[in-house]
Amino acid sequence: MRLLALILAFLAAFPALAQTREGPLRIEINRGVIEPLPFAIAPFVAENAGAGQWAEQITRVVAADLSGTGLFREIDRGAFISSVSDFNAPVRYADWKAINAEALVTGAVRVDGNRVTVKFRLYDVFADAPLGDGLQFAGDTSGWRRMAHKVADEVYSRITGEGGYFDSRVVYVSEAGPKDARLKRLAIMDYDGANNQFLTDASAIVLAPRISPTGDRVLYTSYETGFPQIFELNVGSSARRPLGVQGDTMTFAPRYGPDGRTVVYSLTDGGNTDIYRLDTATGARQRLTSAPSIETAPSFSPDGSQIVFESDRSGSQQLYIMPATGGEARRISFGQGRYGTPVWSPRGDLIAFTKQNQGRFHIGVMRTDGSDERLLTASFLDEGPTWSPNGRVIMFTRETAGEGGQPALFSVDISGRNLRRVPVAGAASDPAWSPLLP
Amino acid sequence: MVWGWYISGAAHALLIIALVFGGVFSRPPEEPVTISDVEIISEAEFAALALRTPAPEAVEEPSAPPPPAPEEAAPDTPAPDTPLPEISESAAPEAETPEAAPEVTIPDPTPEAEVEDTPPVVASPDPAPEGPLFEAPPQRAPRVAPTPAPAPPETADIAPDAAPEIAAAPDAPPEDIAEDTPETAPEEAAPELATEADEPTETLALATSPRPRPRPARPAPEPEPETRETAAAPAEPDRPEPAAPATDDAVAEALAEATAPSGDPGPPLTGAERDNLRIAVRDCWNVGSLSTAAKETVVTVFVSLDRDGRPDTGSIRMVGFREGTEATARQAFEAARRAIIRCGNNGFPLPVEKYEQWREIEMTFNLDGVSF
Repeated sequence: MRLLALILAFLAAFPALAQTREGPLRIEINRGVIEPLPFAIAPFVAENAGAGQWAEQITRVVAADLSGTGLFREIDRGAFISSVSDFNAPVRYADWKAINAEALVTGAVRVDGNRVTVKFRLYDVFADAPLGDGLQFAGDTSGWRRMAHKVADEVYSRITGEGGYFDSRVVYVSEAGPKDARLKRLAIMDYDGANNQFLTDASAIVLAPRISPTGDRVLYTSYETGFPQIFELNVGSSARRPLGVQGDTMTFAPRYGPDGRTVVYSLTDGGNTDIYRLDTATGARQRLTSAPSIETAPSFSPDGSQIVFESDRSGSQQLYIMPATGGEARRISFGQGRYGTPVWSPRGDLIAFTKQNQGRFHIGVMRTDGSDERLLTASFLDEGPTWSPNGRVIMFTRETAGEGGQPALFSVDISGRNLRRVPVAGAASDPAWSPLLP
Repeated sequence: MVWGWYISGAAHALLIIALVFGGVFSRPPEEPVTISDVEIISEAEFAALALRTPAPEAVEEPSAPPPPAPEEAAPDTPAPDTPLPEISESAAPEAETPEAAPEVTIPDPTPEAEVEDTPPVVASPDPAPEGPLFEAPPQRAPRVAPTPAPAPPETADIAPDAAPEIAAAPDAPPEDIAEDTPETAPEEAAPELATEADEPTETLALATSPRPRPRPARPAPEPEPETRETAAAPAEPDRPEPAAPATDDAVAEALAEATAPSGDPGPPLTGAERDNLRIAVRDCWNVGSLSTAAKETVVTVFVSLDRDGRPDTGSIRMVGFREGTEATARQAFEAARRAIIRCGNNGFPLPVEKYEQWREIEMTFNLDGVSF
C-alpha cells in the first residue's frame, strides 16, 4: 500500500509538472488598431538627364494611388532623415524607423528616347529587409501613368496580400445639362479619373454601361431607336452593334458573363420583364425566367454558375439567386426596404446592392447567402455599385438633391471607410469598373 | 436414509444409461460443408481484373437532370438572331472617337536583369540579431535580413539560468522540469482571467494532495472473530494510520522540492501586468492595411525579450496559424511582427523582477468580430 500511495502521489503531482513544462508566456491579442499604414516613398531617382520630369510624376502617381486607398498614409518628405540618391545604395533603416515609416518605396526612372523604364523596391522597415524582389517596367513614355499604377499595384499587393486595382479603367455615363434635358454619353477613364475620353456622342440617351472581362468591349443601353435597346461597343474601334433585338421589345440591364461571350439582360415583352441569356457569338438566346413579375439586373457569379438578380415576385423588390441556366430561384435579401442592382464580387464572396429604405438610399454588401448585410453608405440617392478588380472597393453613383442636383462618382472601401469622390470633370453616373489591365 | 441412497443410485444409473444409449448428447449429423476453391492470383492480375470490372455506379448513373422550366419556354422566343452586322462607323460620334483605349504600351512585368533581387547590405548601425536560437519557418526565409548577424544574447542567457537551477535541486528528476516550472503553470491554468490569488494554489497542490489523511475520522470497525469479514473488507482499518501520511508527505515534499525553482524567478505576472503587455502590443497592431482574409487568420508569434523588455527581432517567428492560408498567414504575421517591433522598441512595460516569466512569449493575434 505504501508503494501504491507513492505512485498515486506521483501521479497526482504529474499534471502539475506537465503544466509547468511549457516554455513561453502565452497571451492573446484580440484587438488591433485600424489606421493607415505609414509609408515613405523616396523620390524616384532619375538615372539620366531626361528622366527627371518622369521620375517626379511617377513618384507622385504611385504615392497618390497608395494614399487614395485609405489603407496607407504617406509620410511627408520634409520629415525624411535619409535621402535616396542611388537606387542600389544601402537603405538606412534606422532613419526610416525614426520617422515611423513602416514601409519604404524606392525607385528609379530612365528615359531613352521614347522609352521609359521604371524600377522599384519595397522595404519592410521594421523587419530591416526588402519586401519581395525589385521589379522593373518598361514602355512608351505616353504610358508612364500605367507604369506608375503597376508599381503601386505591386506595392499594394505585397503589403495587403490581395491584388491591386490601380491599373484599371472605368466606363461611365458623362452627363451635362439640366435635369429635365440631360445629355448623356459614354466615357472611359483611368480608375483615378485621368485620361478621360468619350466613347459616344450625346445624340441619344445612354445608360448602364458594362465592360467586358477583357476590357475591350462595352455593353450599354441606348434610346436612339426611341426605346431602350442593348448595344455592344468595341472600345478600340468604336464600332457597335445591337444585341438581343426582338421586334419592338425593350432590352436593357445587360451584363457580360465571365467568359466574355455570354450576355444576360432583361427583355420586356407585353408588359412582362424577364431575364434572357444570349450567346453573342452564335446569337442563341435562352429565356431564364418566366414569372409574371419583373426580373431584371442580372449579374453572374465569377465562376459563371449562378446569377443574382432583382425581382418583385414576392411583392417587393428583393434579390434572388438562380442557376446560370435558369431554374428555381432562391431569395437572399430579407431586410426592410427594397433591394436592387445586385453585383457579384470578383472574389465571389459578397454581393453589392442598392437599397432603398425609409427615404434613403444605401450601397451595401451581403454574403451570397444573404447573411452579414452591411450598409456602406447613406444619402439622398446612391445607386449602381460596381466592384474594383480585387473586390475591395465599390464605386457607385451619388446624386445630390434639389433642382441643381448632380450625379457624381464615389468610391468606398467594403469596410465602409474611405468614402471619397472620384475626380471626374462634370456630372457622371453609372460607373463600370474594368478588370485589371494586362 | 437408506431409501435416499437407493433413489440416488437408481437415478444416476438411469442417467448413465440414457447418456450411453439414448444419444442425448450425440452430435447431429454434420451437413456437408461446401468449400470453394481459392485461386491465388498475382497483384498485377488483380489490378487487371479490377480495371476490367465496370463500376456499378457508372451503370446505375442517373440520366441528366431534366432541364429547368425556363428552357421549356425557349421555343416561345423567336429563333436566334443571326449576328447582326455592325453599324458603320458613320453612326458613331463624330469627334470623340477615342484613341485606342489601351494606348499605353504594356510594360514588361517581368523583372529585368538590371534590377538586383538581392537586397543591398543593410546599413543599420544595429544589425538585428538573427535567430540561431530559433529556427525560422520556411515562409520567413525571404524576410530574413541578407547579412548574417551575430548570435542573439539569449543563447548565452538561458544556459547560465538553467545551470544553477539544476545544481540547487539535486533530487530533482529531469532538469527541464525545474527550469520551466515557474513560467507556465499559471498560463496553462487560466491564460486570460487567472488572478494572482488563484495561481499559487496550484503550486501548493502537491503539498496537500495526500488523500488518506482525512480518513482517521472514519470510525474503525470493531474487531470481529469471523475471518470471512476481514477477507471481504478492505485492509485499510488494519493499516497503521500514521504511516501513510508520513510517506505521502515525504513524497510530496520531494516532488515539491523538485518542482520548486531554485533561482526564485518571482511570482507570475499579474492580470494587470499581462493587460499592460496586451495593450502595448495591440496599440501598434495595425490591421487597417490587411486584406479581409488576412484579418480572419489567427497567427501565433514567438518572441524573446531582453531584460529591458525589448524584443529580439531575430527571434520573432510564426509558430502557427489557423483559419487562413499560407499567404494570408504571412500577411498577418508581418503585421504582428511590425506591432511587436514598433511598440517594443522602447521596451514593453514588464516587471524586471519577473523576467523569467516573460523572457519568451507566444502572442496569438486573433481579431474577433471582423465581419469581412
